Amino acid sequence: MGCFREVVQAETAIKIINMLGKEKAVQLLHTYYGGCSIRNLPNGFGYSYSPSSFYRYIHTLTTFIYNQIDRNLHDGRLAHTNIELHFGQEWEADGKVIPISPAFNGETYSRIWKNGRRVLKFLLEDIVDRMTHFCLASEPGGNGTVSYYVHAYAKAKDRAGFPPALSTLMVSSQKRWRQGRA
Amino acid sequence: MSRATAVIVKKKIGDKSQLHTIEGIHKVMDRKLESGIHSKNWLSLLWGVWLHYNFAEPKDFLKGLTPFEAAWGNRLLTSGWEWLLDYSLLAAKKHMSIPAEEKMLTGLDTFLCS
Repeated sequence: MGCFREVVQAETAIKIINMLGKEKAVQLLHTYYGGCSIRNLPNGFGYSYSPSSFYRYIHTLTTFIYNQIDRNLHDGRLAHTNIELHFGQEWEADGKVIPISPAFNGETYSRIWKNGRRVLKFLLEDIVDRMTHFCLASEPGGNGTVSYYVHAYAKAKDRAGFPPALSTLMVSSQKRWRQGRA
Repeated sequence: MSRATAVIVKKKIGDKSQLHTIEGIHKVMDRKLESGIHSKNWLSLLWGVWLHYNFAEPKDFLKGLTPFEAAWGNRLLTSGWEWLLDYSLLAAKKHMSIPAEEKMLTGLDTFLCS
């Protein structure tokens, strides 16, 4: 039995799927993550929902699906199915710095003032299997310290079920890496 | 049995990713960053991009397969998001005992667990 919050979230997602219909829910997710902006969705679908409603539906469905996949993908196996995933022995790890809203309150990679405006940058850690191109872990990188790399690496290892034979790691400088910052 | 992992450390230049295999997920991310991340629910955006890259978007360099299909060695019968939705409903039903609509779960047990 899942925790109360997860159960409520799953029930909300099921209500949304019932309301939209499974085909339209799938179409909504595919179109949005395929590159369509949230404001252009109603025009393309002909729905009478507002963009904020669409955003709420997408957020709820995405969280619901990700929680199920994250919980059930361990050791290269997907629980409740007979699916076994075979990953390669060589992984690549790299991060990307992306700009985010100044209103963001969480831990960020850098906070600077540019032309009188506050600019926040967020680090995203990715670990990808070189053979299948499967992204084993895509985690927030926090302030870029090694501990965040270790966290992402542990998650990738848990999902694949084994450590890689070779891992390529991109760091900004050897000096910073030795100091504990990537 | 544990074993050592050889690590190659390369120099990172600027904010962009330099690894070829990671380019794919960043292309998906870039499409979603046109308006920037400006919501308290920003983490779900990252999760959605991860799901779309791995399960839903076919890759040319994988001969039209998604990374999930390449790792599995089989092709999905339905689209990626449809499969994800079906699987999530089934997992929620089994794990949390949620009384999901029977019409949605008809045939899923047979399809996913056979």
